[in-house]
Amino acid sequence: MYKAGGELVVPKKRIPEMSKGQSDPEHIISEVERAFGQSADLQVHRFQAGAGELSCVLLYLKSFIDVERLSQSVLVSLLSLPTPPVSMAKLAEAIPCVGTKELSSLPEFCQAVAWGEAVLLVSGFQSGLSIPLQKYEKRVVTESENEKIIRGPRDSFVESLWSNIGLLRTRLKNPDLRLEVLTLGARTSAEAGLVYLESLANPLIVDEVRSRIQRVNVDRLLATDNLTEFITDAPWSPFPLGLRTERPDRLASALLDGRVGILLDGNPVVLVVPVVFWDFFKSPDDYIENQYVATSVRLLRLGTFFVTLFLSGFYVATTTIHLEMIPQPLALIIAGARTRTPFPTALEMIAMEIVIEILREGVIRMPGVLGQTISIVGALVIGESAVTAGLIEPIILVVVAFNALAAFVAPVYHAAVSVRILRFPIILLSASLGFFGLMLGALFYLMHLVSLRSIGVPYLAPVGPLSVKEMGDLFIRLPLWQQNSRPSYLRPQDATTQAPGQKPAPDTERGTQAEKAPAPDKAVAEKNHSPAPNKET
Amino acid sequence: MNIERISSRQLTWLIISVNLSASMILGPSVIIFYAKQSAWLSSLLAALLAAAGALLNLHLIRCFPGQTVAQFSQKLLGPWFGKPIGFYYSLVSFYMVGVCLRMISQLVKMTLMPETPLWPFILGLTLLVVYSAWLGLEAIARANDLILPVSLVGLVFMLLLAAPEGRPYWGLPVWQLNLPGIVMGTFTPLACFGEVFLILLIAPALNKPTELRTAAVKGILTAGLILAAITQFVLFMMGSFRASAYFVPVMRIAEELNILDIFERFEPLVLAGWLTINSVKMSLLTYAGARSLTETLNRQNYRPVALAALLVLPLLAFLPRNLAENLSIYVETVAFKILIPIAFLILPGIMLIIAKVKKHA
Repeated sequence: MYKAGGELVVPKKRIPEMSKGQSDPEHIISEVERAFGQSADLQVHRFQAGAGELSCVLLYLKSFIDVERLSQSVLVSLLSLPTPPVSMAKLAEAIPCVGTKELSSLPEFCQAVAWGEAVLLVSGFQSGLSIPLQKYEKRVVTESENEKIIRGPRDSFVESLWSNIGLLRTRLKNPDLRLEVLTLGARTSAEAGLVYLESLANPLIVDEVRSRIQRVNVDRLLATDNLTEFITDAPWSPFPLGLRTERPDRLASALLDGRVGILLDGNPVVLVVPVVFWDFFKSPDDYIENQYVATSVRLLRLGTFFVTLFLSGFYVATTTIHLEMIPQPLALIIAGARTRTPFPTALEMIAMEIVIEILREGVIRMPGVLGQTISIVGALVIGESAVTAGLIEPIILVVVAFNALAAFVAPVYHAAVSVRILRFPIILLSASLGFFGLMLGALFYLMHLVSLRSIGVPYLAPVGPLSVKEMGDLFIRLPLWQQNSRPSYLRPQDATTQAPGQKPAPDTERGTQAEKAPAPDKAVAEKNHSPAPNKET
Repeated sequence: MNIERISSRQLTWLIISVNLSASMILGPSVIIFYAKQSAWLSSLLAALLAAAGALLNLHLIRCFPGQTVAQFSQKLLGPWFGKPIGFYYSLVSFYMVGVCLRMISQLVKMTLMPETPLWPFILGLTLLVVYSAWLGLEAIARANDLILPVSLVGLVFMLLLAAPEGRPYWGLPVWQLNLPGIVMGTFTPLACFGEVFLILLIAPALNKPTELRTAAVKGILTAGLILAAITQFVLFMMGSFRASAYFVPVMRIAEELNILDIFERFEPLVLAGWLTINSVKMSLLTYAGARSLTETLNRQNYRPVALAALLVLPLLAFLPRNLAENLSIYVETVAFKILIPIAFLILPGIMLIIAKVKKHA
């Protein structure tokens, strides 16, 4: 139910406030039962404790609670009380559970039961007690399916917020790591965790992320991706403005850059903000392999991004409008193939791209073995048969197949999906206006990209605005001992990552280096007091 | 009004793009026609004169810190005389975009797609520049951060490919003081550089106003040096007679290029590069024109005016009947001899004198 201003209102008639004289356990039980609509898993357990002088009631959801612990820890302790306690606080001390909390209002009782806590009511006491005994099935930590790397750590996030925080803490054993838990979704009441390193992340960025999350006012929030759509800077943009990752090492690295992570309970995907366009071409492998391998692979990824976006359009433009640019032997081959097909090149290209998209979507949803079969059948039967039947030029098949492969070189899956969609307008523009159309499309995309911001950070930084100093970890990956600073466009509080002058060398040479470079500790200390200013806008 | 911010380096690069966008294509042929082997001197002289003109504008800007010409003209001359000046700067900006749209579209049509009608090119470019202007100055400056270096690297690559065919002796004698020719050759690049009047419209956006003068002069002089290099290269490649016979000699050079006899005919790529760098200028002028009109009308949001440019720019682009008329009347006579000198020198000069008299310093 929403008010005119858009504020979500939880239906009050179902969870009325408790007035004086209504703290009777039976009244509370009836109200909670009414709120839960006589749900089958809502359990009400009545018993006598404190040498039979206390009438107690336990309210809990049996689907969501550790019944064994409830019996062994709570019931046994209460039943063995020699005398009745004088207050709820004293009673809480007798229960061997941490995290118990006194509750005094009906909405609190209902919310506690919904969160999987056992609620203890005692007749004669004005308040109740929530006992956190949640238990639900958790997936074990496995390797990430969507962000595979060749070397390096294999673990990935699971669906439990607290397990994920644990995975993060194993990498960042630092009291500086901040976790703020916010409850989102009026009906789903999902816990969202905001994580950042307090001494690194810019407070303005943290505040902005927090306020955007707090502004989210919906009844459901079931996936991290849902949250992304509510806090992004440009909701209509096809480009991802937040990095979604399943890898704890990637999140730890992002936090060490001064970014903010958003975790959502029930989701194995963590959202990292702010991000820049180039982050989608970086992989944790880049910092594990040596700089030459990492640089060449990164350039390859960037190259394939442009190939995916423009190759189809380029082929259509050259073969239909600018045939003079193609070498004569190749032009003859293309012309020969063209004579056997009845459709315009652009139409063939778009049709084949759509077929590939259908195959890709089909294979994702197919069961494992069937998926492989379908992909082979699709590639062989549709492709080969279409060429044999004279419906498609063979070269188009080559271009489309190459494109399909190239789209998956990007280490982040959701970035690749956007690019796949964006190439269709380019094909249409190239087919109608040749290279002019292709350039026009490219310029539209460029203008859109430079206008984007991710939590206020320019999306194309450090290229637009240009910052040559940041190029050491962009198109190329400099050796780690040269990467002494964090990205300045994130405006971290501490710009320095390590002491300078750590180039490995024999002791004699190191002595010379040390004379030139300032003492590491001193240099770090000096830089810690001077956050890197971001001169560009 | 939400003022956007750019750095002084970004302003320098924007000025280089604005100055080179027209002059690198139109300039070499005309400069060489008049100045022959002294073409490089003409280019440099044009840059120096443009820098001097820019200093006049900068002096005026310094009298009214944080204001655009549309704002301070009303303050200086009152609304009756001030508002027409704001309108004039909008008109010049939109007019320059209109003729530029027509020239690029016509050239692309002539060179690459002679059977395609003109309107899709004009419509496509109009949408692009209005969209860019809508996104604002920061976005244009950031795009230029990528476009200018890539275009210059492409140009250098093309020159390197063509260099083996060059005949340096065609540039001799280097120090031929053909003064009338040098002065005549200066006119076209100077008029192209005169588009830098737009600093009157965007100066308040600079994040460090104290660096405005250095940034602007640096941009003009760098553009002059690049133009001199291109002109001299064209001279080496084609000689003074052939170079001045072609409308766009750079395209002629591109036609003869090839890599290993496999990749040939680079004209589309040259045109693409030129289109790219021109899109920056057109977007900037559309933005500046829309902003100037908004401030003249004392409105807050320039975007509705930018949207109105969707109608105005194609109308201006379709005014000339053909490329020759566009070049001879709309560009050379109206723009280069009337509109730009008034916007770049005469109006700022008059306003500076009045400001000094009224002691606005």
